Amino acid sequence: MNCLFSKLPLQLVLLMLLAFNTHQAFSTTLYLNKDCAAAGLTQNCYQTIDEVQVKLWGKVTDFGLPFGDKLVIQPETINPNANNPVTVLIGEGTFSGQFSCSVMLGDENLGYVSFIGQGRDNTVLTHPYMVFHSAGCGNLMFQDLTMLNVGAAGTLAATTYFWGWGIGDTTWNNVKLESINGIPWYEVSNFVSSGTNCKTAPLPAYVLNAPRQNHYFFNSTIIGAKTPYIGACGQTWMYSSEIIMKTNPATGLVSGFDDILPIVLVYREGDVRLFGTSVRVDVSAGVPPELRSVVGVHVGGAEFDGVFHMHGGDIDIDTSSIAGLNAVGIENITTDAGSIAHTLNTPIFVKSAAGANSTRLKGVGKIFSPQLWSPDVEPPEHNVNTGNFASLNGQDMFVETDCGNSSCSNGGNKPHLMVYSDACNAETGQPWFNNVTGECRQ
Amino acid sequence: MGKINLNYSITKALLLLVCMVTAQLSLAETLYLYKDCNDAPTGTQCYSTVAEIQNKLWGVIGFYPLLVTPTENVTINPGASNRVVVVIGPGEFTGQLSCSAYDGTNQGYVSFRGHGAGTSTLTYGAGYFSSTVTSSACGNLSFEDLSITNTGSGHYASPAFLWGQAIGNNSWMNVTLASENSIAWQEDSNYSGGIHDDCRSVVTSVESSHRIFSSRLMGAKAVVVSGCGEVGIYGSDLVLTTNPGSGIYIASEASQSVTAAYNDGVLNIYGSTLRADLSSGVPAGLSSVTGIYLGAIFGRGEVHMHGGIVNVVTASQSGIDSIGVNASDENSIAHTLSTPFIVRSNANAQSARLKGVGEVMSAQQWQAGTQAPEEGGAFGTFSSLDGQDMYVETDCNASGCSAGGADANKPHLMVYSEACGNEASSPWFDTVTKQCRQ
Repeated sequence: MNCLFSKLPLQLVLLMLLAFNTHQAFSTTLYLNKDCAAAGLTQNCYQTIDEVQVKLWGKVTDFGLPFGDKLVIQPETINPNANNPVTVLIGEGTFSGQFSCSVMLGDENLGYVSFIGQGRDNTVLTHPYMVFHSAGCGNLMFQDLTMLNVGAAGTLAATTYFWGWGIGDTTWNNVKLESINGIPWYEVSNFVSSGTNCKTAPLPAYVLNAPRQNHYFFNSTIIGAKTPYIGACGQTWMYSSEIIMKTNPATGLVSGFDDILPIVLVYREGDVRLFGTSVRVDVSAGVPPELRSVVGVHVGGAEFDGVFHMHGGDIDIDTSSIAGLNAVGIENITTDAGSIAHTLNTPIFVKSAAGANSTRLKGVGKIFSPQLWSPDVEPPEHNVNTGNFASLNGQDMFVETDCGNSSCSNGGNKPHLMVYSDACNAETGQPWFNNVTGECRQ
Repeated sequence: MGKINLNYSITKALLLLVCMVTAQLSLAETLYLYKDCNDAPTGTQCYSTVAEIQNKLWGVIGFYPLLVTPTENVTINPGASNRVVVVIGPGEFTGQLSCSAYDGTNQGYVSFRGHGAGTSTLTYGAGYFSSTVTSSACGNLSFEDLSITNTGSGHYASPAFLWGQAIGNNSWMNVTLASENSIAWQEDSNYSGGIHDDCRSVVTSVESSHRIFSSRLMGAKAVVVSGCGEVGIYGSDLVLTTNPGSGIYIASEASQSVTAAYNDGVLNIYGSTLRADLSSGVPAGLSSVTGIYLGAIFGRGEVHMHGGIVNVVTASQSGIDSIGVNASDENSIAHTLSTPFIVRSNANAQSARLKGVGEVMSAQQWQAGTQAPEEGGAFGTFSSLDGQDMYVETDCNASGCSAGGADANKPHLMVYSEACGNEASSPWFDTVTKQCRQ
């Protein structure tokens, strides 16, 4: 074809090219593209997020309000819903702006928009203040793109995706959610004021009566400087993904709780379930000077339940490169019957520097996290260069391989099963009970 | 000179025509299914209905078992040397797809690509044998970024996807498969009209292989059923969503399962969830829900599952047993190391983590506590298989556990024991005291 084209008049070639590349927009498909003309997109194509925002939900005049942004509907605004879903196809490039579907119109069928990029390394939505805010709408789908918040530290300001008063579900596939200084995924579905449990008055009836929202994540990365994943009220199902807290010394403390940073926080009846997923911390860039502990998963609050399930994958909390920084695997601080961390078959590694604490499990709440460590001649994390290891009664086991009939570490060669024991720790200073001898390990 | 110019112009026009035809031919392997073909690239083959796509790909669908009749000068009949991509736009498209040609060739090799699960949906729900997508005697199909649903009801409510007498493989990526009243994904590769023969006795070919990635599958009577082929499922969510309206029409439907493998079917499941959702109620007559069902009268099945979870909680419904694995055929294999099982039934039913006569390799360490797993609540009686379950009891002393006393604070490892179940009140063997738990 090229050789033929080369012999045809230029105008004819251009006409033919146009003929093969022109897309005529479908009414429920919008395009966000750096160069609509070059892409052959002649209708419903926009070059900025602001334009697409106006088309979808209206003009944002005040962004980031806790009860929803102030949106002014324009004549061209669609306000998508179950009967009029919209697909936004996003081209390559970095697009700066904010999306808000915080329409708060009292209709549980609002939302129903799919955002589809060209790959998470090729399509980036970014803003220094909350890239996407959803309140009072849902059924959103995101695929093949990145959302990046580059704003300064601040609980809401540095949030990448904020889900408040959520109704409907969200689905994420091959998405990267990143916040350089803050929280990449923040769900506060029932936020009306501090101290309320999930879906309680004075939330409006259409929110109270809406089914619990589900969030499905596949093949995605959630990375942020502070608590990358906060689940409250809704239910999360996450598969084959990673949640990373990449600490940033410049973020400092923005709240009184920031000296203890969880990677996953589940409270206010939130329910987070991870499968084949990794939860880990990266302190290689340093940490804020006030930071005292990194916690893999924190369940519950002073008066709030949380449910956490994780099977497969791993929780890896290695803070050993930072002096004095404690490493905690899971902490459940709520004794309510409904609050639980259930992580059968998920290995949890904790390693801190000497002088700090390496605590695999912690708290007064229900934790179902038995773990069989590697066989060895010493207990897990028993090293002069690492912090003090601790866990919860009966949850940890290892096989000690240098045992005789009466004890271990005295030149024997038989394997004995050891179980973590608070009672043995109190009696002997060694928190391990030998199930073969029926005595505490000496 | 004028004649020469005219000939030159005609030649040029012909060349242009050839060029355009060539261009069209080069795009012939891509079809577009769009609600409004104005949205598809100009000059491409766009259709607005599933029926048109079906006719273009394989022809008109007939009655059971959905055999197709090619339409002359229209139907492509794809194959290994003539592959087709179908791009599906946003919206819901109602109709059936079938590549059941039975002419001795594999007329598959078709990729269906949507604009996202939930955004592009193929759906169907009427008629006898009304699966939404049916593949028999063809394969090498690929499905990406779309939903396939079936809303049919009644005795012959059908799967969203049915793979019968199939040859070749298929793959699924970011797909939602849902059947309101039947099975989400069913493979019955050797089905021969009511008699379940041994694998590949009807269609002689190599084993079919299926790969499902990052997908959600929901069915009212089962979610994934593997007969004959090998199915690999990665990072996906399989939910048995019971539906009171789905009814129970034959005796075997009284026992429903999230997954089933028989007729040499093999399931390999990694990082995925198998669970039951009874929140909408159950059909009258349902007696049990099983996470993984293997074998039975249809011959052996095999499952390997690592990571993820099998969660079968039926406690919200009275009298429905909760079963993790049922290896009902002695040649069946269940290998599920590092996959936790949760079984919980109502007080008047049974909670069996493992069951059956097949080879079951499903060791599980339960959470530590002062009681045995699933003990002490208003739940059904727990059972498993000998030696497969362990937990650490934390209120023990040198003579036993749960008896109280200041020294009853040591952790003892307990192992599930059928012998102890017969000898004592509790089916657990205390490895420290070397006695059955009382």
